[in-house]
Amino acid sequence: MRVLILPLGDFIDRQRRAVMRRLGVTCDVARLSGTTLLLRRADGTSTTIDINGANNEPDGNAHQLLQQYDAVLVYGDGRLNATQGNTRFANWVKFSPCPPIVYHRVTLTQQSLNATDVTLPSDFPIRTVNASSLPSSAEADAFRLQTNATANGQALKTAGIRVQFTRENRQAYLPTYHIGETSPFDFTPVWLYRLDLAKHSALGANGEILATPISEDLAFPTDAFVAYRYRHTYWLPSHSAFGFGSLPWQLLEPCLDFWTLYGLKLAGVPVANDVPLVFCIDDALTVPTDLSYISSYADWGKVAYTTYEYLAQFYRRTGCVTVCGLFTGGRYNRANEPGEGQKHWDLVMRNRRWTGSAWASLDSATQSWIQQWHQLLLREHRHGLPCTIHDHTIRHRQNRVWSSFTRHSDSGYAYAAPNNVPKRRAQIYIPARGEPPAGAVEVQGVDGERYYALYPTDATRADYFTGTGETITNLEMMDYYGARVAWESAVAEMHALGFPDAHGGNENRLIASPNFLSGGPNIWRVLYEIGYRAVRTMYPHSNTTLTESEFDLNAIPLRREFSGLRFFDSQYFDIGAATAGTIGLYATAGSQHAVGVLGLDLGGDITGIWDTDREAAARRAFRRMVGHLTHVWLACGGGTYLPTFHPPSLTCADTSDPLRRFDVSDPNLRFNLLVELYENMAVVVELLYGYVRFGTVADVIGAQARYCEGL
Amino acid sequence: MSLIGWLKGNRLVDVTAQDPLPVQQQGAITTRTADTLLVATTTVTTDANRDLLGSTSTELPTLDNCMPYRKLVWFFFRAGADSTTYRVLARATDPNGAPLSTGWQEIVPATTLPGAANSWGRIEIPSAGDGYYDQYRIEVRRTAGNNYALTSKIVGVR
Repeated sequence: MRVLILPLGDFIDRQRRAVMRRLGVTCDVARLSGTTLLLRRADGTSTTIDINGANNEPDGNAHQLLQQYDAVLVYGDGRLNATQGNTRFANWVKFSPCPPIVYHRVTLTQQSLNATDVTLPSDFPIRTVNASSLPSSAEADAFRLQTNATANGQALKTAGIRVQFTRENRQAYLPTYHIGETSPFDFTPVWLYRLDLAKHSALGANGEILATPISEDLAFPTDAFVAYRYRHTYWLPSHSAFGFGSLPWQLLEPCLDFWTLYGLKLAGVPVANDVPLVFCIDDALTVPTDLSYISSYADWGKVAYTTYEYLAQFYRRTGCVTVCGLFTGGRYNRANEPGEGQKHWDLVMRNRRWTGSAWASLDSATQSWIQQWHQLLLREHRHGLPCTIHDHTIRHRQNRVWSSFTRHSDSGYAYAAPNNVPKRRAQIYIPARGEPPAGAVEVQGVDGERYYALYPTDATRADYFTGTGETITNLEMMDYYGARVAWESAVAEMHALGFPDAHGGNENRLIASPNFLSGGPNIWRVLYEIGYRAVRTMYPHSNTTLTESEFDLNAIPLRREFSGLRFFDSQYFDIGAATAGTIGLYATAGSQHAVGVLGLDLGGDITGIWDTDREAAARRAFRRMVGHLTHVWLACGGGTYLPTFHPPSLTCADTSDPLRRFDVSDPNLRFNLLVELYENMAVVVELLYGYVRFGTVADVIGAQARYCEGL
Repeated sequence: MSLIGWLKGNRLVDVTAQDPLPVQQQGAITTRTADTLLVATTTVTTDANRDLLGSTSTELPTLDNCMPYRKLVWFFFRAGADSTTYRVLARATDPNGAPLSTGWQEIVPATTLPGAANSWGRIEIPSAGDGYYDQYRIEVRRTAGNNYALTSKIVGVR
């Protein structure tokens, strides 16, 4: 299939190429320079095409070019307050015959049409905008998706609306807007175009409303639309031009968004590499540190257990895997970092929780829920809730020496007491050739070569080995064996808790790094050896919560891979504090709520009316929250990010009916974030069948490997 | 007698240096002599010690596992002409990946980054001789004017 993409601007050009490479769509790329198209074909050849004047009209150069393709995708940089070259491509609606053309973010102002010599056909039903005195001049013909004219914000967070899809007869919350007012990127104010409904009716089969906005807090005019087909052309909301990673790496992120994928579907462009989605929960069995946001610990247990039961059922219905990172280390009474906290072992085996300053026993009702919850994780480990190590006591800290480390003594482990194994880096390393010198230990170096580690042969040799006891002094995480001793204790704890393996089963070998610490080569090698194939961390390195003298000292490679272990960046899905929980959508007192944590307010359009028009404010906050988080999860399918979620963001669920859906008439505005998010994503997956699916960690690893191979 | 043999001209012959197993090449044999090690956009500021990854923590490398490369080639495009210096630090690690010590060897002292606004540049590291260092830290610092974007690609040459 021959596909032509037309990205406007350097930044969009790089992003679109990354997206197409991620999806395995081979395409030619045409850049616009003045009135000339600079065509770069997939085979590496180039040419220039004049599309000025008659050359941009039917049978001209542009028309002849487009007829060589099966689909054409226009990724504009449109904004209402400027005349822009992307408008020139709108003239192609007049071409016949012509392959399908998908338009994203094209400027349809009278000023830009005049400047680019574009005359739209008389039956073209999308209303053009007079941009002479924005915003008021535009309001007759387009709809501004915010209640004030000036506030600046992130449109992917504030332009989430409920969309009705006509062909599929489905509804979903999605960030949706056609064009910015002043920004060529994802910044507000943003607008939806509107239709001339009389022209639309007259078009008959040549015009089709593909998607419409559903009025909630905003009353959309009847002629506002989301997606429209005019003859062979599809007019869709803007593609996303916003990445999540730190600036240096954003060039390399394939920024996926719903409307790009929906455009490919409409144009019939298949993808070689589809988008697998998984979800991840850190500290997967926990209780809030206090009862700020929920009535009792037993109620919490009920909410959490019922939600996880739902996640297990959701897997059976959809195939969606939720990787559960268990907070290990409690078996050995190691301290949590940073700050103390309850571990999985504390809750399940010791029946105690951490209050923030002391240990307290669980009441019997809470204990019962915790035990049921743990049993559910054991049952579902090989299904929808694979459990892995998420150890806040060891963490991925490379540059660390334990003055005292407690290991285990379970039988069947190479590094358990009483085995005497190395614990520190040797004094001398020589290439491993021939017979090893007496007392040498063979290790693999960071360069992949084998070495003999030579330890002292005098009385100080014992300082380099663990001895036979469980308590080890001066254990070095920088040393391969030191790291192995430490991590094997976490594996043994998972086994002692009843899990058949410590790495999420065969298809979900993901370890979630606490606080996103990056670690180093020996930690990565050990993680690979104990069964992991991927780490969710941050790149190129993260040293969160460490002092400079403790920093990890190695960078994650450009291709996000080290000796078979792959690395993923992290994206938060919490709507409150990771340990205490959340108020829910919003409250005038406190800051742990979705509006504050996610940044959903736009110039006070939620916070300013919360006490005077609660229903509008709540609807606004809810649609923005679900739309934005759905977008972020979908973007994670690009293969460079994975989700980060902490269970206390479920404290806003209804304790009497934990799975109850959001109801704006509920005075307490209770909702279950994961239920709302998963159900919305289930619709998205259905809408994008063939392009997006729920998958496993192995699927995401495969997607990343294919994407990074060409870097 | 070899344990492995093959039929050559209706005669069973041992596998030797003179009679290797007959094989057919499957696919093209490619030998990579250069690898992309970094592609990054950096906002050039007046911060001391800011590297191409945006980090001001002096112990963190910009590039790691570079021992296979005798030279790095740093291509860049600078959006601004504002006066800027760059500095290149390097060091070796032990087989565990740990630097032999803290600190760095300064292989290029603070030097003016060449080029005008919207211009391209190419710098070889080291400028003469071979590198083979394990880790590099490449810092950029604006000394006058305004912040601007510096887009870099670094290739390791074996």
